[in-house]
Amino acid sequence: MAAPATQQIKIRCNDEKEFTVDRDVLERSVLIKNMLEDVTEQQDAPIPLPNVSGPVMAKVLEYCTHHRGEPLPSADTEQSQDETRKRTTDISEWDQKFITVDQEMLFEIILAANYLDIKSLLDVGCKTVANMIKGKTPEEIRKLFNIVNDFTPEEEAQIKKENEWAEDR
Amino acid sequence: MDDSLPFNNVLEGETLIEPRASPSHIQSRKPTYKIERDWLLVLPFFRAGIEFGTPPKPKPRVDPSYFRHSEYDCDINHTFNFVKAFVMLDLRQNRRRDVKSFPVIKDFPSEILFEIFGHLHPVDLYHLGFVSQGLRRMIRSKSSFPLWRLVWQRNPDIAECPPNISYLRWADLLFGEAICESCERCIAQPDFTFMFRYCSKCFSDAFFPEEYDLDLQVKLLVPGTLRTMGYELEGNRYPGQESNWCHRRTVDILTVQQALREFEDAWNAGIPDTQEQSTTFCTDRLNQVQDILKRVPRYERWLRRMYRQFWEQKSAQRRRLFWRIKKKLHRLGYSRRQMTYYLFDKAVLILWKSQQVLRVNRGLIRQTWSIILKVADHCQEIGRQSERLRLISDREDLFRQAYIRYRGQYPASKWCTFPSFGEIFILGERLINDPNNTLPTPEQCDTILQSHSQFIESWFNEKMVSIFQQFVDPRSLLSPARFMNLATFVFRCELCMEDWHRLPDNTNLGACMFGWTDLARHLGYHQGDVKLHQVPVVRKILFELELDPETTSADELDRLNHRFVCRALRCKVTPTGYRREIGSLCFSWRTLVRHVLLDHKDSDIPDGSATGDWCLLGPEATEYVIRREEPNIYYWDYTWACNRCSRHAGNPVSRLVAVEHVQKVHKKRAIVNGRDVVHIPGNTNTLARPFPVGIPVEPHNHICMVCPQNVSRFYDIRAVTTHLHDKHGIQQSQENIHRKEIPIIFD
Repeated sequence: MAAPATQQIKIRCNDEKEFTVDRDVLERSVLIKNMLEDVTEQQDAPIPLPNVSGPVMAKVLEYCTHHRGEPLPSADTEQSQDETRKRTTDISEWDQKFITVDQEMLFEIILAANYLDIKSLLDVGCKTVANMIKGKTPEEIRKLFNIVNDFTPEEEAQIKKENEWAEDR
Repeated sequence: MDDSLPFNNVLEGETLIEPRASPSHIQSRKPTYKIERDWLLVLPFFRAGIEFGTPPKPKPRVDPSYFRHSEYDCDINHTFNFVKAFVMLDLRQNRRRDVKSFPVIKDFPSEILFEIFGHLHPVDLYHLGFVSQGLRRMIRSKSSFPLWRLVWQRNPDIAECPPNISYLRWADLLFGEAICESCERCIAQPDFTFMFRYCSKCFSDAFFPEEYDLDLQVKLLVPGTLRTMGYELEGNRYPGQESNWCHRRTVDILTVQQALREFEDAWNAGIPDTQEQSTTFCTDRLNQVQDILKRVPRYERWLRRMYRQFWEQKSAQRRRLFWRIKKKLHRLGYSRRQMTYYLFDKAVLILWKSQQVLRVNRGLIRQTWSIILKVADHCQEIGRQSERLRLISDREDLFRQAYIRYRGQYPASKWCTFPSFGEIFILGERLINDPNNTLPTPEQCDTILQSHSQFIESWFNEKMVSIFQQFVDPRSLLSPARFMNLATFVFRCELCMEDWHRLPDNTNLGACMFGWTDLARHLGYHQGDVKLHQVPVVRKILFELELDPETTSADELDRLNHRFVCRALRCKVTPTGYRREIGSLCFSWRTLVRHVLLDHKDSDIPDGSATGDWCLLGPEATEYVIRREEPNIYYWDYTWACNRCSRHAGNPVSRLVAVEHVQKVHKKRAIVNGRDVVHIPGNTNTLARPFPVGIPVEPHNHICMVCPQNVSRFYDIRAVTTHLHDKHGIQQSQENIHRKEIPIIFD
């Protein structure tokens, strides 16, 4: 007996690039899932995604394809609450490899995950950025994010002195 | 920062944090500014309360010189916080990758920023507050309370925030600079009872110690703290404000006393519901105090654990670094033995402290290596020198042992005619200073000594001849025995004088004074020139004793063993009695000569010509004094030797060392002079021999005539009367029948 054919959905990005993806892959995104549930007549028309570009969408779809079939995180379950409480900086091996991209792309992925409401992808992106900040002194954080130091020199000196011991390793 | 940033929209006045859930008994009260006074009444000991009512204090601007010149913690020059240091170490070790720049964070929407910051450690979030003014406002704003709570929930390794203070305050306490909040000058550790950092001075200003009497009810209602948390900084231990007193804050005491007084007044005035209010107040306070008492030990345990883990990590890190440096040095050809030399470790430790090595743990950079190599070169040179010195010292010991073996072949009475080890050293000098790095065998040492036996045995006679050559009369060379009787000739050892009695005008005659008989013995242990002096005071002594100055020897004088008292240094009579001074000392003839030569100097009298003003003690007084004399047992008196072996025969030591030797080697507990350790007076370098004895204030100059051994004990007049009454039942004792007074001649 042949397996039931999955429904193919078209999406169109802001650079007019179109993707045809299985429905269960796209349903990783809560935004698209709700959209598909609401709109049932015009199934052939591509879904417009004006905030996502083609390359970013390809990356997002790669993530969704890999994680297809996994249960979606629910905000109400006790399990998810426990999950939020534990230390969440650990990222799975595949996700780490997936997120090893340049900074612009990482930024775009985080924004796209936020827009498409893909909780797990957003978590991966945020954890990655958080890992960059972790264990850094204020001066290092400034360098990392190109933030201008607008403290007075006295305050700056004091902060440096305070972090003197934290710098060594 | 860009004005469009979401966190820039937070207003200046909103830098307040949302309070945590209040305790159950005050749930109904809203934490608004209006009831701030009520809050303070209920919780006067919570400093966090001020965060709800007053704007935060500006960051203290600390002058680093304050730390250096601080009265209380003067040697600390940075605000070291080991909790933060430990957390940062841990975080840095677990960091996966380093990113040079990520310039796009300012474009993130605020909800994503909060999402990102939610994955941080509390110390990272705390650090973000120091990055820029905008981030500081965001992190410290009221709206970021859920973020702080989430961050703390996700990091259970950091102690949870107490229910009565804000997360921000808690973060300040744990990760903030370890500086006193009051004076902002001294190092201070957090106090978990009152949740602040106070130095010892500010603490004593603001707190009541338990020594003050407090009402028991007030004690129960006001929490107290013990300040015992110390810390260690690079090997220096700072004990903290250790105190067994339980301090209570003065403000709390006054507040509670006032409240109780008000209740009492209201009760006396018959105001209804006062008892109920009073009970409620006391119950609430009691619960709070008990909560604190339960919580504080937990936090302190956590802090100590954190502290211990931090220093374990630091020590391990330092050990690893040392190991790496030593391994690399070994590869470069430096000797491993010399590199473990403590100087090198010390030098690297200084580098470690100065952060030059620490920063480059991942790779020792060239600049650091150039410093380390310089230190290593220096240490290697010192190591080589000290190794050579050790070798020479070992050889010297071997040779010395061989000499002791050689001398052991002869009876001990002959040892005094043998040369000292200093002269023997010349014989084995070539062997000892051999440039090869090998130790000689004992047989080699024995062979050298045997080959010079002629020199050793004839040494004494040759030395005597050299001494006689210094006599005034050249006939001494022909018949030395005749001139041995010249007691008035006193010899002075130049070496001893230089070493032991340095005087500016070089008039220290008699600093080491001998008759000729013990001069040879002295020279057996010392090298050096001797000079002959004629001393008038000796002539005067001989005149007093009616002895012939031409024929009396020093030995004869020694045998007579008289005692003298200096008139110029008599006891002083004061209204309270006699006062013991140096004048109460009795001198032997030798010490008297020294005393006159050294202390009776006068500008009118040429050096060495003084005769002094002294008198001779009578025979009974002399007996009395001698019985109380003791040999000199001071540590600087190197005139003692073991009498059970020949260990110290060549180089006498202090009595303490000799006693230790006998106890350790010969397993003797009770050491007896003359039996276990022997006194060698000929070797003295000391100022006086025998040591002058003090006469007590009440002279014990009576003896009991009834006792069979009546001369063995002396009494003062009262004691002898009591003795006769108690022991012999004599009520009225009579002079010269029952007791006898021994006259002590002073004039």
